Amino acid sequence: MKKKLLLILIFILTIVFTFSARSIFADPADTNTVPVILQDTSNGMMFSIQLTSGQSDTGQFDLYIPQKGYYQGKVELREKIKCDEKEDCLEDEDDKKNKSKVIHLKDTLTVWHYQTDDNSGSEVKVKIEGKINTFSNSAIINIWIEGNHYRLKTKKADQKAAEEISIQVAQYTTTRDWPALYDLLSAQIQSSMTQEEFIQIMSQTNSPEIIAINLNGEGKIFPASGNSYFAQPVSLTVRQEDSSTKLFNSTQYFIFEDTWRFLSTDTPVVP
Amino acid sequence: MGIRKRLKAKIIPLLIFFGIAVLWLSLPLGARAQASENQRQIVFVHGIKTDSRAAQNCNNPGFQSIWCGSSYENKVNYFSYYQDIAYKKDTGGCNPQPAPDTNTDPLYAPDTSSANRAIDPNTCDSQSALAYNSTGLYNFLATLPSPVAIINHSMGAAITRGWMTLTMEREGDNTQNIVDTVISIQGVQQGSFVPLGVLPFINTLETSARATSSLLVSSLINYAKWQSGWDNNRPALADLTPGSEWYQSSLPYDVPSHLNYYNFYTDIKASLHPQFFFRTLPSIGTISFGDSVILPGESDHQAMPFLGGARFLPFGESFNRHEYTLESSHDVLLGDGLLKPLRANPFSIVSAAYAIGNDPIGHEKLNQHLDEDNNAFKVDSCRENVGKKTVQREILRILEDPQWACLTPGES
Repeated sequence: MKKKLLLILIFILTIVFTFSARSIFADPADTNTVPVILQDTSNGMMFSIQLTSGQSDTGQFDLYIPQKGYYQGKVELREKIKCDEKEDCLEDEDDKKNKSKVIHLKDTLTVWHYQTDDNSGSEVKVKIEGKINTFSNSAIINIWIEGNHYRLKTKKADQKAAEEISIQVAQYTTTRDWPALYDLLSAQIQSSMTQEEFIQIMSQTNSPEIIAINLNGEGKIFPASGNSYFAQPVSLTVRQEDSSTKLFNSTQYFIFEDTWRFLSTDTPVVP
Repeated sequence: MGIRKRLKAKIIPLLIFFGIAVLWLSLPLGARAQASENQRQIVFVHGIKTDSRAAQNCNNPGFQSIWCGSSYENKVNYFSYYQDIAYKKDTGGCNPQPAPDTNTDPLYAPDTSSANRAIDPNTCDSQSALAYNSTGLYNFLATLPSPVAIINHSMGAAITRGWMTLTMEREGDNTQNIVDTVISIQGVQQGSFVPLGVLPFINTLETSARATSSLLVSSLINYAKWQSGWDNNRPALADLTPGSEWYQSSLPYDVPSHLNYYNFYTDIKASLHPQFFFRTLPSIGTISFGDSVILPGESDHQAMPFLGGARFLPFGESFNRHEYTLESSHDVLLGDGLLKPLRANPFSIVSAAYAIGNDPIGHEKLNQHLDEDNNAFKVDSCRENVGKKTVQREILRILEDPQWACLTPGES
């Protein structure tokens, strides 16, 4: 009897400890997520919102309208709304495929408005409605402020085009066509180094020689901080000093800048 | 009395006086200061969400490591905020606390009718309105003997700035004569960028690599929010937002010109490097994160930079005024450090943000790296040719002779 009680006690204590330890040592990444950031490259508008439910900042948003400034507030997240701008609320193919990932916004609220130039803030009334597809990172958001209508619409990135440029990067790398590879680089890299500088770096022989690159499975588009990125897993065949070859796995990363541009890889690892 | 006797009576006291004066002047500067200013008191004004009671225990980690074990250990007065955590009962709830001094004019005080619990004796979280803490500090300083050196951290610097505004505006003020030195460490002098959110930081980045920089900025700001645990609904966070009504009410005023000012601020930088399989390319952009919650900002004491700042150097560098920069840098690999973890979870906080948020000189960690015993960070001394010193050493040296602390020996 006593043994049984002792076993039950140990069992209860184990459960209690497991749960308390989980809460004490919880990784912030598990409990706190980064808000979604959306941008409309055609007009410079940006919108950031916390979509993870159950957090203290769920629905909290920041809106940036060029020449107007910043707006901060908290909007209600809904599953479905009756939308004033009807064509913007229609389900498209992406929405139909990923219904559970579509979040609607509709609210009229008072928000905090401040500007970059004079740094002073004031309250202003804002009407907001729209939909965000967190799977495709696409959104259409209509905003009305003091009689003005603003519309943020994200651009959709094409996965097929991303796969094509991924093949090109592989080809130019193995043929060491560095000028052609430079042309595929993100504008962020091109603006920090000239083609000559890039060729000089790539021509240095202190790095293993890559003799073949093959796409290794399907690539994936993912949103982050207002931009779309594409990750393509690849396998590399590398010639070693003793002329033998070795296989590595890596990933090529691209950023959507009107077209897909090459941004980086990660460090190759032995599979 | 004869002439000789009269001469003796006059000359002997004069000789004694000159003898003492010569001996006094022959003492080294530090020893002279030590002798004359043994009575210097320190007032420590802690930061947001900190406990003035816990700061008094030398066994706890914290800024008290600066003076614990030194001759100043028993000369420190710990200022308690209105609604300080120090009033918290172990069993929950708050012990009785003094009512705030609401005579805050010209400083901004929040609307007490809202849900921010700006005046509530049952709140004790050290996130109270800055205005009530500035009036509280004013009243506290008025009870102390001169000279006093204020040492403040984080929100404590904004409270101290509020006290300065009150001293400049109140007729018959005497606290300016009590305090002679202000030493600030990572002060929220012009506001913290964290409550502004991600977009203003991204939009003001002066780099062509804005898109990739924003990956790190977004993670860092959200990590800082999580790490700090600041309550959006309490007055402190609204006050500490750059350009807030608090800053608009305090920063336009001048500060006392006769005080000795020393300011320690942090600037942690991150450089972004694209990877090309086995190669790492040169940096495409460098971002300054300040101490991970406060950017450097501007040293002008009346400036109001858009993203806030921690710099504070009224009237420029001098023997009794100096800004110390604590710097570190992080190389972040675009693939391994940012894109790989974001590919796995686009809404996660990347490890590079953890590294910056936990930098030993960052806002959350500096108080554990001040003294020799604790793997201290070293800064350039304000005296030339002295080399690098720990923050603790430099502050203790300032306290000895704050009027001349940056005078290089042999310089006049």
